Amino acid sequence: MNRYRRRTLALELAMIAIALVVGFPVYVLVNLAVRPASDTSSPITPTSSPTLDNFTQAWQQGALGGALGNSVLVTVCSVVIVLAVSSAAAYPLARVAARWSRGTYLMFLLGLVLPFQLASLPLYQTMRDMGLLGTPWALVLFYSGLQVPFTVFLYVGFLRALPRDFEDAALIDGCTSLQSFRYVVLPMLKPVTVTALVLNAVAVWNDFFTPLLYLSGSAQQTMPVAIAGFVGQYVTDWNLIFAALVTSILPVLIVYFVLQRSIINGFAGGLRG
Amino acid sequence: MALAPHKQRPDRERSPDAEPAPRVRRARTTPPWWFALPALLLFTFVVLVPSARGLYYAFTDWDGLDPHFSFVGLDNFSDMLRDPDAMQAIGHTLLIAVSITVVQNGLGLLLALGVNTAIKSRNLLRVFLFAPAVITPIVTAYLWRNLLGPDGAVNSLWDAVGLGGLRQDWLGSPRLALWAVVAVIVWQFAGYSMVIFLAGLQSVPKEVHEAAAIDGAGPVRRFWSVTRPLLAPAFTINLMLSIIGGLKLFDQVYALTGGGPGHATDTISTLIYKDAFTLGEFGYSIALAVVLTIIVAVASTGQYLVLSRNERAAS
Amino acid sequence: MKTRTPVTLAAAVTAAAVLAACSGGTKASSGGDSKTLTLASVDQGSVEDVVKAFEKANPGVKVRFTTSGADQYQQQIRTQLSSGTAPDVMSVWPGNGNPGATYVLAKPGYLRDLSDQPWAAKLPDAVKSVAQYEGKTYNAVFGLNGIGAVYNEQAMAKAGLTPPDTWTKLLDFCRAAKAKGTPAFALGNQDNWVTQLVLYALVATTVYGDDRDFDKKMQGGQVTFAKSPWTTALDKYLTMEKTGCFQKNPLGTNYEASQGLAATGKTLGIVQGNWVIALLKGKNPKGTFSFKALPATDDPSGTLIPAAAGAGYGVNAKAKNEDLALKFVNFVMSPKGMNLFVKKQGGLPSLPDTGYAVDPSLEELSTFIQEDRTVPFMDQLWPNAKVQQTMLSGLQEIFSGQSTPKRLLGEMDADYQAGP
Repeated sequence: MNRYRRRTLALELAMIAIALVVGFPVYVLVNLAVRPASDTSSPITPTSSPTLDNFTQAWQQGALGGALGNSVLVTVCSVVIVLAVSSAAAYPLARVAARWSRGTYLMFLLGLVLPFQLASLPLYQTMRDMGLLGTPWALVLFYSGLQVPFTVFLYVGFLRALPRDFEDAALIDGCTSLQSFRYVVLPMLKPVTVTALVLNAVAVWNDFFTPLLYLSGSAQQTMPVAIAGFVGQYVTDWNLIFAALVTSILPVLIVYFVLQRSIINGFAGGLRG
Repeated sequence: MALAPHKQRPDRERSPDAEPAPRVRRARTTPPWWFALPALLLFTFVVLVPSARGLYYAFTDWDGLDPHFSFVGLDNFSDMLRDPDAMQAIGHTLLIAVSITVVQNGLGLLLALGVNTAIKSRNLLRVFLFAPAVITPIVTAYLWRNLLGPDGAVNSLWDAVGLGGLRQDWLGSPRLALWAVVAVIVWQFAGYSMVIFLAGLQSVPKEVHEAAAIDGAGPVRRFWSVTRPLLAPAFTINLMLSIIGGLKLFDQVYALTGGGPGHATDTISTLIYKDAFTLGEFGYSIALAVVLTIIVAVASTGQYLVLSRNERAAS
Repeated sequence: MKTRTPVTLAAAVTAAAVLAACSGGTKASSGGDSKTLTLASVDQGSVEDVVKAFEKANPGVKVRFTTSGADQYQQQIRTQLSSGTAPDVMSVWPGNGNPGATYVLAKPGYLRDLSDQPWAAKLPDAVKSVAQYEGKTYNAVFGLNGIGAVYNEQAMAKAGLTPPDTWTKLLDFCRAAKAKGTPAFALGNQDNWVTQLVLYALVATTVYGDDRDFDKKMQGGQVTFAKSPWTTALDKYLTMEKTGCFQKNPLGTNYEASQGLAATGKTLGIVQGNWVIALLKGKNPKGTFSFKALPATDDPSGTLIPAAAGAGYGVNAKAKNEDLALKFVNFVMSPKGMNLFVKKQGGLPSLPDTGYAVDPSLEELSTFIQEDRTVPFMDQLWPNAKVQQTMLSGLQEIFSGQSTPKRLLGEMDADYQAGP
């Protein structure tokens, strides 16, 4: 039953064919990004004169370096905060059956269904009053709150499926709740933490409309905003635009491919809950 | 399709059959409530309070600009019933959410079953198929807008393989545009569903499959009675994510079609945006956001209740 | 087999990044001081040069500016104005009928009165009507734009055709062009704002040719869209479509793609604003392009061009740096600033005496303006933004068979009559 049979080969070929279909748009993206504007052949024909000029030009004219720095800053800071506060919150919410605990959990779940449009204007005005507009900190604060419901949802689900024995033992050994969280619960949460890390990082990195509004009027930009501005300014130059698009997704893809084993295993493990 | 058991070792950190030990002499840890405080504060400050304040505008005729405006009660909601654009957008939103949920998860499940076999390229495939999910939606939308153009790569591809008759004006036809949007979402997130299903599949112990096979159960039967119940948690999470995501869909539609041609792909979210910022009907747009909230809440609670009942029944 | 290295590595990289990023980020915020001007603009691709020239002319002054597309700009500016965080200077559209237009922003008092500025009195009357609200000037309109047919001269020469000047010749021209495999005009109707351009070009002659006071009659409620020559204009638009004047699949073709078609000679031209010429030249630097009126009747002398003020700049009534804001606006309205802008955008200056050498490609537009054979863009005098939005999506619906001209004009009348 474990052997590699003819049927397995057929399946393998079918799966590879599917992967090629999935990869096709990315091929076109790269193919257009590395060809000079003078090459106007069909987008699916490989270019005869590949060049990296588009990338250097996009990098310089789009000021993508600064945007990259901001995106890294915002993503890293927000994700660290979200993971810290959400894992801590999940601990009592998963373990205590009291009414306040269930009520709080339900309230967090409410956050999953609220559309961002409802809160956007009042929140903008609060950020203004705090003097955070135009700085990346407005975004860090925003995502730190926005991503809490989903992250708590992941952590609570996972934690509920975990046995409590270790925590109980730790308590008997004289640990405080804080110590038991730090030394017993947190290590057990590692798989779901990887999952939450990936999902939050992707969501924060990719968000477009919030940074557009919160950073407008300042020199600060994040990658998606810089890209949109770039597309607006070089409307006709698709090769240049595609080079910018590739540049914007490259950091994420590199991190993803380098860490893919931990990410996918962790991701899988974290959702088993 | 043969469902050969995977060769990977079970996750050592947490074996799936680790049930709680017998409930004797248990000293209960009760984590204190203040652990939840920082998250609660952030959440209240960033989500709850502003949403509650935003809610107020749903009952006003504010244009988003003029400091003078008045309270109009439920007028915005009754206007909505008479607004064909709003009704159409609600229809599209439901259609998109349902199709994404069905197609993305159906494909995701098939891919997961395919990858969870003895094929040699399974690790590579897993990585590759998940990759689109990490790409910025606005970037995929720009990319697909180009690919789906009349002379874009998709039509060129049909020509190249001699199927020029399949050329279509994908985003320009009201009949196709909505499905083109769905296809782009599915392209991006099928791998995401796959990975979640894969996690569920890998928690199916190999012995159970073998025992079922020895009892003479065919592959379909084995999937239905052995694998499916164990996939219940994966189904819950996948359906929850795709229903909520589908109902709230904005970025991709906005960047791909802007809701057009005409209103053929307008969703509640794109209409909220247009009403607020290109028509200056801020109060009305917030009323639409309230309706969206209710739809999302009803849909996700409903599916959560159904699925968690199944989940309990299955375990 | 399972190595921990990637995780450890990731942790180390992350820690370093947090440290570097978080400490670097604090330098980011900088408050407004007397040497810093904030500016939000929709003139992507041209305002950059003007800012540079302004900074050069005023040493020590720094302009912090953002540019964005019209949609995003409208969201941004409305949120900022209502929250009191708007920049000192901002793009403002002329007239009414657009959520970022002069009337809309001036009415609640968000714009500073610019009537006392030296250029305000010199604006031509046609421009004044849309730069003013209740008799006061709020919008520094620097450029004029027209809508018409822009021809690719090399492609025309190759096809052996010349620009038509009557409606009958236009349809013949379309048929001949189609027969040669290069359709007459590129049409990028996927972007909904493009849908209105051909219609406006036809409405100018069919509606306003016989009745220059049509807008006043609309405002007085004496006429409606559905019972006016608007029906004729809309029919002609669809006749052009049926005759094959446009390339295939206009609804799947966006603005960018339509430029590509006209620039490379896959169509003989494009019906657009004159601003498209600069973009076409960007795509095909060797090409020459010329702007001509789009005929709508068989009397060439009766042809009119829709030509109007383009987006200008307004000053925030609560500008943090009013002096500098006025200085910037006055720079835009000075011959130097104005010429810089219109040259880059391929338009015409709004003031007559800037010494601007009109590009030969725009000669016809310039002549029409001098002969007073132009009418403002129709939406600039409509009472609310909804009329135009209804028209834009309605035109897409007509092109995709979801609606009819009669229904569209009826809906526009309903929105028009709903008032401001």
